[in-house]
Amino acid sequence: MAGTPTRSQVTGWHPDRLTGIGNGLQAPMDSISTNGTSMANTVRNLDWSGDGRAAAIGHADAETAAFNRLTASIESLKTALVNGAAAMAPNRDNLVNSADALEGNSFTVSGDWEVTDDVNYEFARSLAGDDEAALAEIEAIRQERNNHAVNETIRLTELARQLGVDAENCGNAITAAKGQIDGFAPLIAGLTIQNSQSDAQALQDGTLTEAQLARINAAADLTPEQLAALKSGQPANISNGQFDYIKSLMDGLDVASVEDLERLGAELPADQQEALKGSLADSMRLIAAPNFVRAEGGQRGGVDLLPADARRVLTSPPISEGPGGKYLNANATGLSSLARFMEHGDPNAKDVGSDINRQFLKHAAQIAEVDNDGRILGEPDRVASGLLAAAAQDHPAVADALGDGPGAAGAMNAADGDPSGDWNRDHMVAALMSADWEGHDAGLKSVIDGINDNATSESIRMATMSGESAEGVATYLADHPFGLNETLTNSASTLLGKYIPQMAGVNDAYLETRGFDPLDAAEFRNLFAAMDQYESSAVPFNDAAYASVAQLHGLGAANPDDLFKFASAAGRIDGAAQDGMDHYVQHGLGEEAQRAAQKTAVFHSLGNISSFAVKQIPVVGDFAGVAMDAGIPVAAYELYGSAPSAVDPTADITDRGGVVWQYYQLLQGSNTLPGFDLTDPELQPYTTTEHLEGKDLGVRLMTYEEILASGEDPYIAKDDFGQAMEHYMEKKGYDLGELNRGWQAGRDGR
Amino acid sequence: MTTEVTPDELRGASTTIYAYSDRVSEAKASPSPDGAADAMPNSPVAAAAGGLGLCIEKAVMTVSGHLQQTGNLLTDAANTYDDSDAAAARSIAAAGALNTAPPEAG
Repeated sequence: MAGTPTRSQVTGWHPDRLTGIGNGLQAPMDSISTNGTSMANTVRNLDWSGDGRAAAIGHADAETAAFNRLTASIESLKTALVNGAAAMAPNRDNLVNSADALEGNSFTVSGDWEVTDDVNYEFARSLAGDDEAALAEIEAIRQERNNHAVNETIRLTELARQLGVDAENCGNAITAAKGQIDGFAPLIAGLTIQNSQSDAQALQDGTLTEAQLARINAAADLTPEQLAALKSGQPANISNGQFDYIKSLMDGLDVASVEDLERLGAELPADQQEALKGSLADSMRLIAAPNFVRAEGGQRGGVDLLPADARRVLTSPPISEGPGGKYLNANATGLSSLARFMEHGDPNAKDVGSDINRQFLKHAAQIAEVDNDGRILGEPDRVASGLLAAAAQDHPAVADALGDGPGAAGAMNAADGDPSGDWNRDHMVAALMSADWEGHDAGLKSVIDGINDNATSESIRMATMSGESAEGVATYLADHPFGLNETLTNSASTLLGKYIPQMAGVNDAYLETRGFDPLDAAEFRNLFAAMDQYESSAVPFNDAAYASVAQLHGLGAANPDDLFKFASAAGRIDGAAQDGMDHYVQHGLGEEAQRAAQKTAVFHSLGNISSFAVKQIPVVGDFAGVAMDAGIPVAAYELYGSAPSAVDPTADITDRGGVVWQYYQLLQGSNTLPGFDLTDPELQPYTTTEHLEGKDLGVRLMTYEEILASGEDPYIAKDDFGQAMEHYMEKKGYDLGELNRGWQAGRDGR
Repeated sequence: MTTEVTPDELRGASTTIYAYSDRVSEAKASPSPDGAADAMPNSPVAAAAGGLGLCIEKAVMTVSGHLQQTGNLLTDAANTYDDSDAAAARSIAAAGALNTAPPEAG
């Protein structure tokens, strides 16, 4: 129910101004509409065809459709304001002018629109004395004015009631339109410098109101698009209000030490305090992120915008030198406190490319490096590990620290607020990877494992950053293959196994992983040697290698024109795997018996893998999700030439695998193609009918092991299958010479 | 499938779209929508119109961000382009598949 506005309310209202405000919305509406349409036309006018064009135009059309809905919502807001003005302005003016006129005519108009006659009739009558005519006239006037007052009271009250209804309707229309607009861009209300200052003060004083707490918690909220941009290392434009609010909030926390941060909001219930600390940590991460960019003026985030004490510990050396040697100083303690505080916050918003994390990574490496010299007091491994753990999830920061992508070194140099410097990626990676963590390797493990998070991201940029980081790990291990402990080598094995095709030179376009440049033959060999040090890392890495080989053959089948290229990459992987193991047993193991034992152990491990999860392997093309038999036992024979007798004296089939095994992989690749024909007379002997619980599941190609076991003698069975394959593949138009030449080229050039 | 577009053309289109993004980010409602609350103090209009300026500003910045993202997608497609038409098309298609349409606005 709409309330009737009082006279003082109505006097303060100026609904006519709403017309101009409504019409003022036309400029952003036009800009959104015009530039949205121009964007779509730009995409549409590119001279291309096919799926790429369809995808891009589909994207552009979806965007413009959303923009159109947004402009329709803003149009609704404009209509609400303009129509509201049209409805209210005449009544408002009528009320104000009428009241003024009445008061100019000796009436009084009360706050609730009651009109009363102010004429002093007693005084008039006293002047008239006994003049009956005069007294009658006075009475007539009195009655007439009384009637007028009553009528005006009724009229003004009705006008005011109607004005109240119109104001309510206008407010409702604004709320509805605003809700639609907020649905497109969630509103963070009240983010102003003034509010920020009072909120920061209340935070310090322990007097936060519910509204202030909600505002602080809302300050770090980003739109999905803004968050996606930051996660992928791209700038995100932030509204002036939001940027200024956080910046001012940080200024307001200048009096707090990094230790004090944990104590903020102590007067609140535990869950509210945790939410508050999370919001503050998120705001700190954002305001220190160079890609957090103020919309107007383009001011960027950085450590110089953080509260003073956080800025101090991040930009001061954590190590001092005294008479007794080097030691961790108070800044290191501060860094640890800050790292613990930064564990608060939205776990999905920790990878915004914050300079806080770049500085954590730099300081961790500095501490580890000095500690490697054995000249530091305190708990350097624990402190450095804590800093690494805090930074591990910030993928853009990790990519700058470990990778060599464009701008990475500049970003690391500038992270302390001073763009000059001599940042050296290799130096830092070496400091971290060569450290003896003395049981505190969890931080570095988190960093390596964290790279995995986005290795196969659908976002090209995020996947590329992971590849750049992974390459930093790989190139260190390629230069220093021996010495990393087993835990960290296992993490590296899991991560780097995904990039084996790229190491061999396969184009990113065929893969889910990106951003990893090919390795040269010596690097590739050394990386295998590094992984072969421990059975726990050797098995998954070689498993991934031969699964990649198998799928590269499959890709060759799907792309016969590029068969040489894929076979060459497969040959390169095979060569590196064999050379790597040789390198390891030559350099890593002394006694002949020890070498044989290690070979046997790894062979046995590989031989025990009868199947593997193909989805762990990065090769895609048309083969994503297709379960291929990579013939891992066969891979073991490939790797070592023949089975050590200690493992399986009956399995010494020296030429098992080889080119026929490659044919088999090729056939599996063609399995996904329309021309594949299991009923072909050449293939029919190598098919089998699958049954499950008595049901016939259809005909499938035998596994390689089944084929070898299909004859009386595996040699003869293999040769028969090889011959059948040559006939079949020839019929299908495959040039098997390309396969063999490519494979050999890869191995020759490894 | 044929794809005639070149990486340079994709980058050119990207640059053009970045310019559209910049133009949108500069768009302003004038007079400020915040004036609606000031024009009708202590009224249902004022209650509804609080924060209207920020609401419009965020909408404009969101559109600008979407345009920037579209420019980024084309840049990504150009950067992953190689001499293979099929590979280029796949890259572009992958970029297109990244699209997350803005939430329904009305």
